[in-house]
Amino acid sequence: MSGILTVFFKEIKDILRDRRTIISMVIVPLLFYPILTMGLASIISSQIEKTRAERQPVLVLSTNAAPELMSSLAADSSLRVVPADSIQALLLRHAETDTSLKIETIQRIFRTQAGQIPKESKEHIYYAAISKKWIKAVVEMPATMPAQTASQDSMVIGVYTDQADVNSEAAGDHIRDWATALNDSLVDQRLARFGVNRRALQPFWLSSQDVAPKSKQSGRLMAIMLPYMLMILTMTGGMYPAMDITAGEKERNTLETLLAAPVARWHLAVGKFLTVLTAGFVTMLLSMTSMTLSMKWGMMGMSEGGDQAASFSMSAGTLGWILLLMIPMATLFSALLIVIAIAARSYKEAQSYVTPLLMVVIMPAMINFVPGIELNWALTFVPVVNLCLALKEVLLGIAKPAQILAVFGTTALYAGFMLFVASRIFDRESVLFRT
Amino acid sequence: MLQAGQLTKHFVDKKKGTIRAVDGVDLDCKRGEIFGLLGLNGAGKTTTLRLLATILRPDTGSIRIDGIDALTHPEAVRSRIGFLTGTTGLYLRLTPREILSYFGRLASMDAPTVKRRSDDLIDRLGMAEFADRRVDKLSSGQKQRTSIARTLIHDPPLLILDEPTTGLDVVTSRAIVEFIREARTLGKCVLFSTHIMHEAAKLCDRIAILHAGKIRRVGTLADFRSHYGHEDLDDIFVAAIEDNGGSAR
Repeated sequence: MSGILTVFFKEIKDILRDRRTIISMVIVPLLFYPILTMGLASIISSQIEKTRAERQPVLVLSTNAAPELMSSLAADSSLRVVPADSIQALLLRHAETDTSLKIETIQRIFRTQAGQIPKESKEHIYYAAISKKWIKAVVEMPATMPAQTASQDSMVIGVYTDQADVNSEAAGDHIRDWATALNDSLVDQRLARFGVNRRALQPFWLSSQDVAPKSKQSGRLMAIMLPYMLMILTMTGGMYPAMDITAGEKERNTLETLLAAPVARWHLAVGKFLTVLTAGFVTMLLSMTSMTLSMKWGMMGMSEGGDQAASFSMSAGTLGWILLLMIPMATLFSALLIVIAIAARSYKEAQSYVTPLLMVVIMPAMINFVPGIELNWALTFVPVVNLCLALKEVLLGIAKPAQILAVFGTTALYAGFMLFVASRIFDRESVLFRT
Repeated sequence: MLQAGQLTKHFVDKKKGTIRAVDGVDLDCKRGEIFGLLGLNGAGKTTTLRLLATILRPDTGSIRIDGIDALTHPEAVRSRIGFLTGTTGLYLRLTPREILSYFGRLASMDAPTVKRRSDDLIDRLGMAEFADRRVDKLSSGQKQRTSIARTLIHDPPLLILDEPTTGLDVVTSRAIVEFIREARTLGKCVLFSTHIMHEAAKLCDRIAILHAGKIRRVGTLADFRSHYGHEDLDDIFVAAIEDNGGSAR
């Protein structure tokens, strides 16, 4: 036993002096989540605010035919109606170099005949004007006037945007908001003429309430994300140490000396395995702490979901279950990393083996992103998948103890087998002395 | 101290097929003796020494070290061996003192003994100045002294040295030669391999010439000179390699 501990303490001391390990084990988990949640979230929300606040330039066609609509649109504070002449001039000049734009079609569009032009032809021209950033959207007004209170007709206003462009999308939203408001007021006016109350059009309303406690609502996102993150972090945390203390020993010519030391081979293996396991667990714990705190404090600043995030908390029992379930999983990963990395002749070769392994773990770990999949007895035997589902159910508070224990059992079984393989691999000359 | 009988070891190479790296090797080295294993590159020296150091297991044959069967009690045997090669690396992020402590603890020495023994070696090998500096900051000579100290930390009666001077400068390889001689005066058995006849002639009490996995001849330098009738050391070496018949001892 003392051999195992000697190897373990030496390896821990050694990897803690390695910058790569410190970065992957401590720095990344501690900084990643605060940056992700606070930094990214605030950048996104400020960008959305900025886009919303800008007055988006729009081109309005057939303006003469609908002066009432036109004046209402021009009065909207979030839109800016661009003079049609200037856009026409820009398009005609552009058509000289871009032959796909037909001059005649452009002229017809601006001669208020847009309604008669084939869809593809005019959309191509609208797209050219939007992609050139001259305008963000095109509004095709109807030729006749629909807004009269006396009328009972309905008219179509065409709105053309580029949904791949955030600003164009925002312009489309503004136009829809404007149309909804105007529509409502025109409907009210028409109804008033007939002496009809608006409520007559809506015999009843649905009032839906989510009865789940606040903590559970926010727990849902956590239940999907956390198991996935735990898998990846436990793996990545152990990756660099695993490569360093196996393939790295070969590369630095220290392995032979170690094998000549009076210590049982399996003691070496287990000491190294415990090092990788510790690194994986430390990474996982630091990440969980950092992620929970980031969600608690960072998300409060965001306009949406602030209350939910603030109310997020994990009970000691839940945390205990998570840690308990992660022990066999981390064991399996660590032993697997040792087995794979010791087969490599160099650190670089080890990286080329371990990177695909990470992919193999990421895929099944995404199971929680698929809606509707629940833990059943068959899935209990699928590694990674079983644990991700079990962790989700634990986090949601809907776990069945028998199934959770079964998941723990099967994972422990796989882990035990892999640990056995790892302990024996230091006896394999063909692996240790590959040429 | 060391008896090996009929050792064989083969490897399977994808291109070359089966290679008999060690093919019926017998060796017998005594305490207070420097024994040289001389051979060309690829003769099987490294494999032979790895078998004796229990790093590899032989296909057939027997090894007894200090009276202990190496195949059944490899760990007990290893605690009696100091193993060093010319390409041996060190843990770059540890200090020499930490490395000594690590290998001392691996040899089941208790903490006070490890400390006493480390201090003694650091003093004897003139390592005090750099003993607490990280290995990646050391010169190649300082690293080599650290390697020697590491080999001796558990005070092994048998030293197995695989081409210990290969790639070293004159000053550093002289330190190794001194270390080998001193080990003999301390009554240790030193088994070392080299492909340089002059080095073997200068140091060894007895020499074995290994070629294609087989021992061609074992004897003192005087034996070799009288048997082959050459004075020049290189001539003796070449004659021994080309001599297929003689396996006289």
